[in-house]
Amino acid sequence: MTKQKYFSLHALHLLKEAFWANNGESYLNEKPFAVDAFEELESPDIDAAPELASRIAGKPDVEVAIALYEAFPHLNRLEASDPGFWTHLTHIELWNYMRERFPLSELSVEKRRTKIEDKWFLGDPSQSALIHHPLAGLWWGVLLTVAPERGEEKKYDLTHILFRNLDLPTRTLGTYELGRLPAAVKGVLGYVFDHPDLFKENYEAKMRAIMRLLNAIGGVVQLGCMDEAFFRLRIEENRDTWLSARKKQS
Amino acid sequence: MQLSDSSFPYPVLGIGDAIGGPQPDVSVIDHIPLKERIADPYRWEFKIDLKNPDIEALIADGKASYLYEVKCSATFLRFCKTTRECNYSLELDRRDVNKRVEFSLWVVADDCIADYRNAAAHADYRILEPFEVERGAPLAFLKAYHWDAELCYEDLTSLRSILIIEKHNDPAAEFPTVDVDGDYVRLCLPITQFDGFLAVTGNETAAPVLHSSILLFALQSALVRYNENRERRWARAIEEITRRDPERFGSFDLGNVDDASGLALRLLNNPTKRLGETIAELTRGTVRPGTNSEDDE
Repeated sequence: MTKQKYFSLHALHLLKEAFWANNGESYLNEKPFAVDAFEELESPDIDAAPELASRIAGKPDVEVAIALYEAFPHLNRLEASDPGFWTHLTHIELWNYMRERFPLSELSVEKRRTKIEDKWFLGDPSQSALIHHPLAGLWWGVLLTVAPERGEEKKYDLTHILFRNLDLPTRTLGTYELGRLPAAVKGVLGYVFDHPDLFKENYEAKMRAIMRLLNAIGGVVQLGCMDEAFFRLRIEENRDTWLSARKKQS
Repeated sequence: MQLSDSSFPYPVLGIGDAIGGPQPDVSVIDHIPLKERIADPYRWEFKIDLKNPDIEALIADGKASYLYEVKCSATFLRFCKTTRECNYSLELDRRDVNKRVEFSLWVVADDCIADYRNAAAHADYRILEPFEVERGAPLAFLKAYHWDAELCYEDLTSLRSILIIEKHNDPAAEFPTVDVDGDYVRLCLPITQFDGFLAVTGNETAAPVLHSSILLFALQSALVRYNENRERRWARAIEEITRRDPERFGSFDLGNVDDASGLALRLLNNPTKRLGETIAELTRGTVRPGTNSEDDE
């Protein structure tokens, strides 16, 4: 089986210099300009995913996330935080997906530069940088939520909850240290899954209130040693504090 | 967990002066496997001397534990290990961490403690005793410690590992600029200055001049911008250099811009002193200008 390629550190540097030098005009090309133009390394362990691009074309984020995760199910944490890996995907294998998902042709030069820098590149890997990256964020979102213990057909139930509203993965749970705790993520999302009637309205405001509640508890209790049941219980016990949450009127 | 004197309604050892008397001693030893032995984990040995009889008694009674929290932002890692042993060995798979790894050590309640008292607590707490402490609540904060997985195999004895001198992009530039927005501190010299720099690179007599002028300028410029760039590789490398040599750098606070000049001088091994010595030797004629050296920074 063909192995996945990724950009070397040196290639990443040159690629970024090339982007700055021509204001990202190469990103308007239909064909990926970076093919064979920058140094690539071949992963000894990661299998390439030649079908991935066709599987995700035109699909919503949650389906792209699951397809991406299933294409690279055995990435270890170090590999999944490698800018060379994700930048290769945005510039080569998933070039068409990126251009369709983030159209550039109508943007001013300045906005185009910003968009390319934000979406096609991954800066220093950190929780925030990874979760905001259009591919890495989806893959990590699945890793944090996949629950094989729920059975094959239901293992992505919590993934669907996470991506129901982008506020949760990209502004609250996904960016908080709380979001690194599997028990917290599964406790929160599992509670939402089990109580759909409570979250029909004002979902975003309620989730923000729940995050505030758990952050407050985390200020006085070490959450890292708690299990999933602890988080569910605390959310249930404190219904009054989040159930009435409404989006602030501007 | 943000900590202050007012964080908890009961006394927590290691936070402010909530609990007096002897304070805990914690030692940690890094065990970094050979780079090529990729299957071997990173390992840390922690030794704790709590020095607080009331909390030690709770641990002995099974009501509290030592808790090790490990966090790595670059790999979404966060987990805790608990033990009742005061010596503990913690291992991490090398494929699970990248860049900065943070450890914090605590003593936490294993279950609700309805009548917590600590004989060494500050007098202000006396009137409120006993305290009810819930499961997972900290009784002691012992140590915060961090370590860098990206830099652990790097030779950080030379500033070459973080500093790059290059020609300025703008041919009309008159003054050098310092770019700290990447992995390296990039000192960009105007073209004529860069050519002059190349001409004397490796020259033993020129080294103190370079160190006390352009390199000192570059390093100071970077250090005053340390706080907003602390996750970048160059900043983490400087942090690691200072961590490895507490005797030389222990009195400096990297986050304090007032310390930038003093720290830069020490990182460059006091270049102004060396410059003075070189000038004195040149004046006496004991040094021939143009002597080449291998150990230029």
